[in-house]
Amino acid sequence: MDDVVLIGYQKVFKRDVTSAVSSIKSDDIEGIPVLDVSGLIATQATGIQSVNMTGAPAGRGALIIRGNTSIGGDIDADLAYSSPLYVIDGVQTSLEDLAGYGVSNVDFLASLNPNDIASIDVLKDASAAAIYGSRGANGVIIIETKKGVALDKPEFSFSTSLGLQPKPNLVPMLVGGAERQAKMGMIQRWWHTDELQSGQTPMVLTDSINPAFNNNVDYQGLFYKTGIDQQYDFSVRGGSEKTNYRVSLGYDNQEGVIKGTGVDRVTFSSNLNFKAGEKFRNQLITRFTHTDLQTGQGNPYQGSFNLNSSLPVDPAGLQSSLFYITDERKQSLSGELEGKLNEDRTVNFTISNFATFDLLPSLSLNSQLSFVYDSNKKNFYEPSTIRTEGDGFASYALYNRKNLTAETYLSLFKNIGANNDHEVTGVLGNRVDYNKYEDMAMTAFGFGSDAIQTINNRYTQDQISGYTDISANALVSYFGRVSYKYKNRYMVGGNFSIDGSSRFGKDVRWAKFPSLNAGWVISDEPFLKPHISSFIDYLKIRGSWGINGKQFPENYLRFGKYNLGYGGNPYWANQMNVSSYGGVTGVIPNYDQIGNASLSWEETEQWNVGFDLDMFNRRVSLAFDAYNKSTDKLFFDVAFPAYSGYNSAPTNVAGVLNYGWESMLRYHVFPRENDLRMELSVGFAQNKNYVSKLPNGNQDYIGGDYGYVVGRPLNLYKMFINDYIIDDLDQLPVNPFTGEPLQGKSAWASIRPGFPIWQDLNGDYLLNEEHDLKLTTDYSPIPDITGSFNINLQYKKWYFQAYSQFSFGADIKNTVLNSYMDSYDRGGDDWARRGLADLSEYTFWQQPGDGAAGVDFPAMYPQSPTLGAFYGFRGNQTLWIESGDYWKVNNASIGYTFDQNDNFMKNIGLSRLRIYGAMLNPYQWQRSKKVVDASMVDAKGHTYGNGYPQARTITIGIDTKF
Amino acid sequence: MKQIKSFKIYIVVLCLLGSASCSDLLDQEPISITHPDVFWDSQANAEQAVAGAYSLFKEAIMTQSNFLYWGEWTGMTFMNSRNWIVNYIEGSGNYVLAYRDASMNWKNFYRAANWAYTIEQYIEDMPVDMFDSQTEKDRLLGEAAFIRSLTYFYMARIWGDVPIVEQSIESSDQLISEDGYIVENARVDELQVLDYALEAANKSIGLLQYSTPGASNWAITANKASAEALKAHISLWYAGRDNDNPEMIQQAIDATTSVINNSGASLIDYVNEGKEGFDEMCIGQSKTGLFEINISADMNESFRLLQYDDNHTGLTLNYPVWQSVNTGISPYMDPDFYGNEMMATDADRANDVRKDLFFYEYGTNADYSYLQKYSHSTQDEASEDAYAQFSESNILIFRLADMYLLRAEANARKELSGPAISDLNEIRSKANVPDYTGGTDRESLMKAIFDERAIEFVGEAQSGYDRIRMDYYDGVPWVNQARNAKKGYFWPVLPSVISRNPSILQTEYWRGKL
Repeated sequence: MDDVVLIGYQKVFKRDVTSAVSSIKSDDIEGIPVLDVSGLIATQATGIQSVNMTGAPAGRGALIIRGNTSIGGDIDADLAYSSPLYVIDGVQTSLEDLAGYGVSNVDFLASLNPNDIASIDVLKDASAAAIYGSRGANGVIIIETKKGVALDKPEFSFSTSLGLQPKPNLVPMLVGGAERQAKMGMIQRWWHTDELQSGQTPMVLTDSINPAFNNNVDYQGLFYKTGIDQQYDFSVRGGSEKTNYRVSLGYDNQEGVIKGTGVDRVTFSSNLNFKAGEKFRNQLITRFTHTDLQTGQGNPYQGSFNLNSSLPVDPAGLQSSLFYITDERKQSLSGELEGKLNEDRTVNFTISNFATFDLLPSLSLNSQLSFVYDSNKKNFYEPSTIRTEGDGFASYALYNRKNLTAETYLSLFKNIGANNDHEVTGVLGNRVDYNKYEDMAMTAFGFGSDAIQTINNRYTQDQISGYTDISANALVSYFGRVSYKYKNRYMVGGNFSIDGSSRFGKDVRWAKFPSLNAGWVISDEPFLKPHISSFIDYLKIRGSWGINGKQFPENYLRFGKYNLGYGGNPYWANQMNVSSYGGVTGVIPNYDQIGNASLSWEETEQWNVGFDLDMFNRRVSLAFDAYNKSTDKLFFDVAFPAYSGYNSAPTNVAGVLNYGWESMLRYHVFPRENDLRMELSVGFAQNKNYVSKLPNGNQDYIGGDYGYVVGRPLNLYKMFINDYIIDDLDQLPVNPFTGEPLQGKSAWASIRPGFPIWQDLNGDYLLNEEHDLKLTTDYSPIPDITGSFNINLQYKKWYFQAYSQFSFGADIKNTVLNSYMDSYDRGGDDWARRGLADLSEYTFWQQPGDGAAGVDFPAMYPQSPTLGAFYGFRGNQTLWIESGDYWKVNNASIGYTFDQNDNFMKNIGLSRLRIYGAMLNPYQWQRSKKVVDASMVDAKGHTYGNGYPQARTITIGIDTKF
Repeated sequence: MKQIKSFKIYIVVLCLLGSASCSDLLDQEPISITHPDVFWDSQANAEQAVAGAYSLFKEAIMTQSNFLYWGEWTGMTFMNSRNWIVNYIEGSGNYVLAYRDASMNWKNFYRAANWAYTIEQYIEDMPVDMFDSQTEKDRLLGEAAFIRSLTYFYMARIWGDVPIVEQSIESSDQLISEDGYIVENARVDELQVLDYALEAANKSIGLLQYSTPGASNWAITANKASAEALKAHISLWYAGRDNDNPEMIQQAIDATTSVINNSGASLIDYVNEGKEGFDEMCIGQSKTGLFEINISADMNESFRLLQYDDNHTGLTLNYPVWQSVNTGISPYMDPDFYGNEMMATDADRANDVRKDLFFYEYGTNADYSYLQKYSHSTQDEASEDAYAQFSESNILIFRLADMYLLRAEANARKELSGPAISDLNEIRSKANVPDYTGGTDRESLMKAIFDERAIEFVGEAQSGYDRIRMDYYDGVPWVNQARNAKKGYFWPVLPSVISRNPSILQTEYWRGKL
């Protein structure tokens, strides 16, 4: 309770906090050898959904505080998360700021060395985030780095670790003869004799002596390997009360488990504090990170990308092992082709100066000036040896972001009254934030020499193309906070901010974000204290209400945009670029961006009630919060009528409601003085997610493969609903008017035993997309319950810790099995040309009766030449829905700490030595046995399990101070 | 203490930095895009906007070669297409074409019309000193009004009743109501649409000047004669749709007369000028052109001749433009098709020079004869393939012969056979066809004028509209009274256009057919 919590521009004691804040101290995470702490935050704080997208080193993930609110007409399922605001040492960065620039696949927090982190505070409710007004709607994550301290002599720290990522368990693929045999078996099982003799059996299967078709390429063996991780961190801190410092240097090298992938990172951070006179304090923070991402084959030459789908390792997308491929192709696939250039480098540089001047003993003036520079560069060359066109392809892309921030504010801290009964604190200030983005990219195709990998004059002017882009935005904010505390028991406070953004039109640019909060420490009431103090140490109830905002990432969305160089030629014109009419360059409106001067803030109104309870000599502590978070005026693409000429544009129309509760229970099993100490902590959060408003009078929105219905969670599946697998055609219902049984639409094969039968939703005895492919309201990809379970065990100088997190209630789509099977029963011979996984652990319909017996899947047969396709393994059916429940142990580590009491330490000159072994991702339980990894799904609930696995890592390390 | 003072100054500077100039900062003027607030500041920019409007119209009619579907294949004259999609129309009059949804979607037309309207609004507000002269400002205004008028006229001919958008749509709040509903816009009666188009044509006539053949943008941008030609067309269509409305007939006569007298254009004498005259007419900007869509490789405004059914070269040409004979897309001169029969049996047509000028081997090989109006091309210099050719044939919208025949038709409607026959003979004489000797009653004259138009404008997407205007359906087996009563001659509206704007009602004939 005496812990200090950061709530934005102020540090307060945990006991005085009246809003929902979760805090993580560096001690809790320092023993875990990760490159990036974002995956650990959800194990330490409640109400946070942690999204894993890839197992790639430094790969991007997402954190969602209190329910997702990201909604849209055409969402990118890799990005459709309402991400919080990050504040690192006072420098604010929202992922919207990075959206125009963040084209690399690197996670935002991967630019921060975990060893430099002193604390992480997660502000979850409106009141806590209110001081960040327009940017706090999705919650705020405040990170402080370690600072200099006054020490008698400088303290050096050095730590290093070495990790091993064993080759992951791979999806078993049938290779060579096994594949041929399995496929021939299928044909012989399902095709008629005359079909078998019709010569339509794919040549790749029959022509087993043709060298083009008699190979046994083990693609998985090509891609995967054992990865080695190395980590080195060095830091020194020291100085006096007047001047002190901390400097740290880190180097990380992580190889991925897929060949050619990995990351090389150098971090540098320095912190310099000085006091001048009694009244002036200054702190200078510099951080520098250089990240070199090796992406194997996965990195496209420019733009953002999803490492999973761009890597050629999706086992379901592999071609058959029987085909011949060249050695160059193999090398290129595994990212090892010499002559191929593929670099993805990021530089982040932050310099921030924080100055405080005490005007009065209780009033100080603060200033923080920050400059952030981010740059991402991609160099790319693909040699002619692997390009089907036989040309060389070179590309160069550069993305820059420059951020300038100036904050000036007064802070007040005053005790008044006889026994200092009254305490008033306040903050009043202003903040200016300016971002500038500069992008450029160049590409060239041509019959150049592979000896040169850059773009130069060997390409003709026509072969080179490129663009540059420059844009900027600014945000101005005036903010204030007042809190009042009486007798350390009664607390009330309020925040107010007025924010203006350049992204919005003049009339709607400014918005006000108010919040209120109150708390009452009941346990300190004199009338109660004598009765309860034997078992209750501390009980506080608290409540808050407030409004926060959020803006969109596009800088110039409010402007109606004109397109230059339009000539209106709808036909193929070869190299002729038709951009004029009658010799005059044409200008027309951009029909995807209509002007909208009223585009404005997205708003979140949230209230929160909760309590903090410490019992039994602080051996049990419980924090509980209930909240209701209503997000309104969310951006949604509205499709325009044809008479306007416009296609669609986003407007502030949609709404999403999240409500729920969260609790964190910590229990010290033994008294804290014991040699053996064990702390168990359980976090538990339940969140209900609903769409509350949609355009056009709450009309259901039905997109390509997902949609929205008011009153249902986000991102519903659009699917056929599986009824049964048919054993006998007599099972089909008969239309009483025509006497005809249920049938599929005419383009499909007629129904045969072993086929999946979907629900005929409109009752017309005809299955088709128009009437029976609907949004399913029974399934939702959003989890209801998330939480964590952690153990911290200490015995004398030994320690053991294990952190885990769980998620329940999501319905996820098994896209992996779906894509294995979907080339069957689809027409064409894709099934023969694609790889085949060993599916022997699943049951398929084989004979009448299997359907009633409940086999896993319909008959898996290669569509025969004489019958059409029924598309029985189509992706849009509920057959693929699986439970997304999982419980995942993120890490388990064991260690021993030597300190100065150990004699040998003096001899080797160390003041502290910790030796540990750790395992990342040691164990995962999941309800569904059919999905690869239930913890890796995108925003639409589609499993990512087809790309980069979250591999287990075994690490040993030491940690020293001297 | 001195040190403290300097810090105070530092702090004061910081405070100033922090709070001053904030509001300016929020006005971030984009440099990577241009937008309405800054664009309209010079004649050059206005000129580019007008070029954009022409381009939008070009795209609207050329997309998937829609102009042929709307105006040519529905006319069922001369060319019988082998293309399976065109056969939807030729076989059964089904306008709900596979893979040709764009033919039922008016969105591209509204882009052209709305942009023209927006241009008119902005140019009107621009001070004259931004232009070279008042005349130049008027010209740009007049051209924009012309495009708007032409676009609505096309829509009225294709769909009949359509919505009218009489505002410059630039902001989403014009399309979405405050409570999040789409602002609907219903179809209005076709005569109102024609009134609206006429008004714009008159505006355009008032603002534009006559030009002369050889002027740099002759015929590919609008001059006063183009606008008068448009007015003549609208008026006569109006008369056809409104029981021979006499006022409209008179307007058509006046407008055509003005064009014939003042445009500076002259007829091509196919007899004396022969192939040269024909080629000049098709390549465009010829002495006879009034308005045409520019296609020119020189100006980088062309496309490759392509043997596919998504463009008008693929749909009309054949060997030897193509390397070998095309039997899947190219049309043939079906002897049973309207027009071919006339050419074969009518003695007057025996020496009609247009048979050999317009067509390739018309008389000798009906199966592989093709229309040459879109055959003009130049070699793509970037390619060594002899068949890599850029198209040079403009799409002819209005030309002088059209004016003579419209005037003839207007007079025929007034039962004034003398002037009607005189204009008809003027056109016939240029093609070596003897003077008209048939009946002088309205019906005979209308047929004679239709026939003359059919051969003169073959491939120029007129005959489909001519049939509706003249109410003449000989040779179109799938047209009948019941269909016409439900306005089955108009095109259906794409269902997605209706679902986004539910005030739109489907044309009666097409209800339940999509």
